[in-house]
Amino acid sequence: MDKILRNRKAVLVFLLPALLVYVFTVLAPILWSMYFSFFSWDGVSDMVYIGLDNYTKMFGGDKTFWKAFSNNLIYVFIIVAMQVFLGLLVAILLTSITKGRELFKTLYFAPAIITSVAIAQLFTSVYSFEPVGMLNFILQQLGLGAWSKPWLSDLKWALGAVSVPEGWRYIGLYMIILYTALLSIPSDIEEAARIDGASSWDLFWSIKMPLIKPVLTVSIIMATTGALKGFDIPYLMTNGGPGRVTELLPTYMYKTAFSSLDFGYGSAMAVFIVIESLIAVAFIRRMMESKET
Amino acid sequence: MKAYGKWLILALSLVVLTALVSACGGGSNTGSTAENGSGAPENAGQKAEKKTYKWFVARGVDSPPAVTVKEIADEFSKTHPEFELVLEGTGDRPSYLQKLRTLIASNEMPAMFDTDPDAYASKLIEKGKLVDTKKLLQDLGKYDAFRPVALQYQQFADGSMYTLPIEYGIEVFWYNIKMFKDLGLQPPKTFDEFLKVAETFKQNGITPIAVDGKDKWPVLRYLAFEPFRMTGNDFIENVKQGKASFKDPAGMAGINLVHELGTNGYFQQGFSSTDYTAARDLFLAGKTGIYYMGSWETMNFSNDKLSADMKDNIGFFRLPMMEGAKTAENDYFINSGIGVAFNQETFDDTMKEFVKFLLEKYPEAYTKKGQFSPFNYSLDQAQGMPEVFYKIQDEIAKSGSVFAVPWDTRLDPATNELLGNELNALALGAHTPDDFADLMDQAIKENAPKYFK
Repeated sequence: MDKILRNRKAVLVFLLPALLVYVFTVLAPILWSMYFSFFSWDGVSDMVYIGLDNYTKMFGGDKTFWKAFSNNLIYVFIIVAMQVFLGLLVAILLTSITKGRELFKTLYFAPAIITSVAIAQLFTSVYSFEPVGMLNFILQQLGLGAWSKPWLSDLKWALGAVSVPEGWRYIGLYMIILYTALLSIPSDIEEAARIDGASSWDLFWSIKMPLIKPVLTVSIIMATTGALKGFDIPYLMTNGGPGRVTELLPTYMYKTAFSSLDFGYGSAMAVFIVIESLIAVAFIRRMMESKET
Repeated sequence: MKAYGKWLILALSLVVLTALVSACGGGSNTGSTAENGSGAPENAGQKAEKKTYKWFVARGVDSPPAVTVKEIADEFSKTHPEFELVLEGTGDRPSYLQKLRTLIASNEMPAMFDTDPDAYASKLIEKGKLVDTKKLLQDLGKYDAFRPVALQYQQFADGSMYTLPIEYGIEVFWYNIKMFKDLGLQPPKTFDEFLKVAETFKQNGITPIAVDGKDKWPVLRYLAFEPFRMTGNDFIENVKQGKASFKDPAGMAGINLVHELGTNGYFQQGFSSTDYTAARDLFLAGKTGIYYMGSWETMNFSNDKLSADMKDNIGFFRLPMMEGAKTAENDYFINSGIGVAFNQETFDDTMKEFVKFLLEKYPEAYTKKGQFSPFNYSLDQAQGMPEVFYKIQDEIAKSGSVFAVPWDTRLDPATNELLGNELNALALGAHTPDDFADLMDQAIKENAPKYFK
């Protein structure tokens, strides 16, 4: 086996099938979308070449597009905050207990394996106002009845309400990733720091954080790109509504292509989402690196 | 040794590749035969190959129409072993349409599928993709067996017809008799009375109306009520092409009604995310006074489906009237449901024979399930159906010949998408009625020219 691994050509041959699959399922559709984005097409009639018109419309006059874009940024913010920072918090807490660690790990991870549809259903009933759902019931029991509201129909709160389930769902996933990173820190470093008189906070901020930073960067990138293409839960819970208050770029793209039957314009948005994700990745890398200096 | 290793690797990767390629190829091959039903017998000696026809269903595979058709298809298969009907359904209407349109855009149109006579369907017809069902019914000598409205509903403005009706329903306001009595209310006859009833409910701390806002069309009905009373279907037929404006009196009347019902809290709180069953359950649990829905729900309002509290407690009233109304009291939303379209490419003799068989068996089988069929067919008292069934059956017999068309089957897809989204926002007070009218006019100006020439 060693010999095979040392043979570069052999490795290349083995990489080929995966590369082919990747090209056909990821790269080709992206290129295809770029091609479609220069046309006006309803999926039935002939395609009409319109050059950059779709992009002009997107960046120029389409208010819904910008609304969806800004919604998407809020969505990303809530989700990254929940997934990475709550995930990190839980991971740190886990490293400092010994009893019941496995139980906590399993429980926190469980939502990650439930399907989106079930989660959307679950949270729809949690948020429900009539008949009263769990959240509003608890608020009423706590004497905070004035705060209870139909969360998913509230123009101000709906976006937050549809963001939380997605964030909540993957806390466990990032917890596991960050927990493993924390565990991989050699214990002698920690002991040495303790002997030098570092407080728990110093230990965390000056020793552990820098050591897990590469993992943290990857986690933030994964959470951000995940949220940028956020689709299923908002789509299932509110379908972008009421109005456009929970519209995200992917839901708007999907509806434009498949409900409004404007495949060209939908494709232009898809291309935008790809570029936006690439920019986000570059931005996060830059930010995390510059912190080092 | 080194050379041997190389060969081993090459051989292995070849195996992997072939497996991959053949898996893909095999998959798509079987897929296309199944969907197109194009498997022909190879030679005379062999038994005829089974042809599988797919029906892509919008109404849920366990809904009475789908179940009835499936039962009849299975019966048909007994005498025609080569025929098999496979049903495939998708949850809600928006995802159904999206999936269907994706299938069609990728050239995988099912043998049968549900569609309204909308702008999209007319594009398919332009391309010659659908079977002319008017001609089909005339060929089979079944055209006159249908209720006239059932067929009219499936027709385009020019009278052509490409979908087969398999349902029939009138739409009424179902109401809670006891709640009305307790508050000393009568079923409203006019829209003014309707709003007064709603206000009285609200004053007494009861939610007046349950509505399914998630699917959008039930709220869209409220927008269409007053325009229908004022102009019949003229307003929608004109406004969809930009020949009329939402700022016209009919349009504003509709917009104002939705705005008023929504912002005054006459719909249940959180209605925009309430789905079909949740809205119905609110009404059936006695939490709201009124629920607007079609007669296809009749059996759910019959006593054996109800809790003890709700027994004999559900009545219905017609669409209210208004001064200067152009349509009569017994004209309201009547429809024959989403129709079934047939793929021209897969419509062979077996399929035609099946349709003939279906039309023979359907009226009785379907009506006995407590449903109302698009055929001239009714059950007498001896059949022992629930009382509310006979009441609706009578109401259907008395209904007029002018019927309101659902707007979502008339507008172009892009405007329709926007309207569905923004209408809930209007009811929640995010738009003023004027802004909403402007928004819609703008959308029609932009999108309608692509669909109406």
